[in-house]
Amino acid sequence: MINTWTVIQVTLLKQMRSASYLLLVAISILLGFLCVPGMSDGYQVFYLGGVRGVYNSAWLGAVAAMLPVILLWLPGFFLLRSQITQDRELQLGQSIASSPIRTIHYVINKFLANFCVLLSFSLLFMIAIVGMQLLRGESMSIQLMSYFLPLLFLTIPYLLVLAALTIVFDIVPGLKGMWGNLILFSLWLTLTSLSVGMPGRGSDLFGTGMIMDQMLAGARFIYSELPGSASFGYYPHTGSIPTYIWNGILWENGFLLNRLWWVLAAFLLVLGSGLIFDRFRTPKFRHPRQQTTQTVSSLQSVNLTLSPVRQVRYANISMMLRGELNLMFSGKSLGWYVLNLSIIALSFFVVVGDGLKWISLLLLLPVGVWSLLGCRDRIYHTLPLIHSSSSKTLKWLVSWIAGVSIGLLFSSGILLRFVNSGAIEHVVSWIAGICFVVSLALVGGALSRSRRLFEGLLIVLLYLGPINNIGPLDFLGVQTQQPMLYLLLSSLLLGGGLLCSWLDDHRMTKLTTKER
Amino acid sequence: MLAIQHLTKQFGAKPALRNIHLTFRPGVTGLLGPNGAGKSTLMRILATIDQPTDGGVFYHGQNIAKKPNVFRQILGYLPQDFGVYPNLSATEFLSYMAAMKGLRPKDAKRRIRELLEILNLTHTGKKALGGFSGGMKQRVGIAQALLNNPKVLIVDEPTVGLDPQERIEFRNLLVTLASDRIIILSTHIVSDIESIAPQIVVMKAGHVLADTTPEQLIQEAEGKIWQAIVSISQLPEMQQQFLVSNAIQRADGIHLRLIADRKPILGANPIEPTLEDAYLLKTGEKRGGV
Repeated sequence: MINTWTVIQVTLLKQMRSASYLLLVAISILLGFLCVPGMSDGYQVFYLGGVRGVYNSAWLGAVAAMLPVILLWLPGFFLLRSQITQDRELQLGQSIASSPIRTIHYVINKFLANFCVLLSFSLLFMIAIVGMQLLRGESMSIQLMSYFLPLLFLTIPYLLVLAALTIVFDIVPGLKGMWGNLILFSLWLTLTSLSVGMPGRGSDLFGTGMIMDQMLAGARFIYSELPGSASFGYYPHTGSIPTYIWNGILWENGFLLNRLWWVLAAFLLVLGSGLIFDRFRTPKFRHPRQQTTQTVSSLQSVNLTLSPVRQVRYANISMMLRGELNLMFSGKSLGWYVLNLSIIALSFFVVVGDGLKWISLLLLLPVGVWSLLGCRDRIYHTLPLIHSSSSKTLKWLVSWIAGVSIGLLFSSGILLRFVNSGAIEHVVSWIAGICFVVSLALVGGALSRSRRLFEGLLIVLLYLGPINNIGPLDFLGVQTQQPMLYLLLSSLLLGGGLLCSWLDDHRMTKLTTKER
Repeated sequence: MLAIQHLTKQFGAKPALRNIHLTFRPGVTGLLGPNGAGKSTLMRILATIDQPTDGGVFYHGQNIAKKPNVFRQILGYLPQDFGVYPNLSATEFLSYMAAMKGLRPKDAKRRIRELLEILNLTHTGKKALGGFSGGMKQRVGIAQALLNNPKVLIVDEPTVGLDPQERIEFRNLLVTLASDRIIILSTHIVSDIESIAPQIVVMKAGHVLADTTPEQLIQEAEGKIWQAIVSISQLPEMQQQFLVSNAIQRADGIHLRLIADRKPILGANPIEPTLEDAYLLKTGEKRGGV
């Protein structure tokens, strides 16, 4: 138990000292402010046909429980999905594996630690909401149970499942990479649909549908002409909003039992993961390319006759580009080439029309290559070798060109299709989109020093933009073309990166020109 | 000639290097110092990775900071900690590094073949680096540092991970290379540089304590190294009072090598200093005696 608490403490400290955690905390507090709009703010967050509850503890307690459930899935998952992998990467794994801790205890400790990190966001958000109740001043009576019970029955089971999934996707082979991200995203979409379609049923992990139905029922009791459904989002309005007093959630036994099942499911997921966790063992099966003899005799007796080498006077972009592309394609199996080439070829036969939005999923093919662009040398600890060999500015530029080349290669089928159909505007928008995505990958990787930020962002952007055409987010222009916007954004991101690396390259000059 | 002038490096308020002046000429220079002496920081500045807070590094009179990419063309660097791309073979990795260093592809191919042969990595063929042992990976690191026939070769703790035979052969390799290039070898293993470095720089807490020859360093220790036999119960007291450079347990007691300005205990005999004794004398603090 003491060990568990220590692991939780250390994990919390590690997270709390990271920029991502602080960013999420800042967002939680900001959301707390934005999600309790004043009468004159001109928008609503929970749409009940133009009315809302008085900001009392019952209403805001429900809000404080529902919002983390709706918003924390993706950021929480991506923040915590690699805690065990990190132990492996930081080479702590072998120390842990050789310590007396039982495998299942280690996995459970990680699960509880991840849960506590997620819970800390919810608690911070709740504190922000309590503050907003006092700030808005519509009801000055703080009913602690009205905040606590939704947290206990709604948020905590959900967070337990989410924490369990961070463990499952960190341990189960095949779920650790990009495909795991896609599966997680699909799971989120499915669970959201089930929550909306069957509120309060066993499959409703989020539980928000049931609460919103109760909020709506309370509103319709007073305003009977209100529509029959409620939703969450940004809903502008003019003038003041009619309010009503809502007395809180009625916890039905069936709902509570379902929540208990979800808690049980979370623990079963963790136990299942613990059973298949390899305890940092060297994989039994290695890719044929990774098998090698460990005992090769030492250096040859030194007879050093090295032939002369010539270097180009100025770094050669084409040679570096060739090196980058070789690196990107290294270690790929024949099956990988066959699969990708088939998809690229098939994309030529797409009909340019309404179904075009789904072709944007083509961009998921090279995501594993792109996501390494800005962080590869940090991940593989090759940074000192690279930085002592070549210009950082040039390396940045070459990485960008290589990324765009890969994008164009994977899009060659659909681009030919567009050209063939005379849809030049689609060609321009698609290329602008690729430039934007590659710039985003470089900057995202360099800033976060990991591939997860870009991978997560790309999935969300693809879903919101090209597939759902929300706002100006269709960066590929499959539904709404805006190539200039995305070329501008690409230029800003690329230019910013180039400037930073150039300054990094030349900072020494500035500091040391004070020659004595 | 590679010259360091007024070099200072601070990490926040903490100084890592304090106003350092050094000159490196062709041949091996051994850089010795305890952990935290600032050796790796100095190496990273020489390798154009980190920037100094003040001062500069000059190669043939040119400030390397003004045109770091020109200096990188004649620089070979083997860092203390480095990684490799696990999916690449040694040849593929070296080809990539050759591209980064701007080598012409034909020359690079030939040079890689030669280096793989010298470093006995030819047999690894197309096997991926991810499965290499520490020593093999270290040899790949050495190969990448030699790719561009560097005029300045900086090697930071290069023998970590090598077996004793490989260490000896690596030292021989450095001696062979040293005839026409500057080699800076950082280590805290004194025996690694004893036989190959005509110049030794001793650092501690960001300062240069000595920039001298091994002979001179040893000479400074003459008359200050003592041998004594003590009982096991006396050992903690000895360790507290004096710098102990070696302790060997024998049937008649513990045979100690002590560093002290004066005779440390009754029965202690003066002995010939080694480079390790001289190094400890330079960097240690306890020098009392009877």
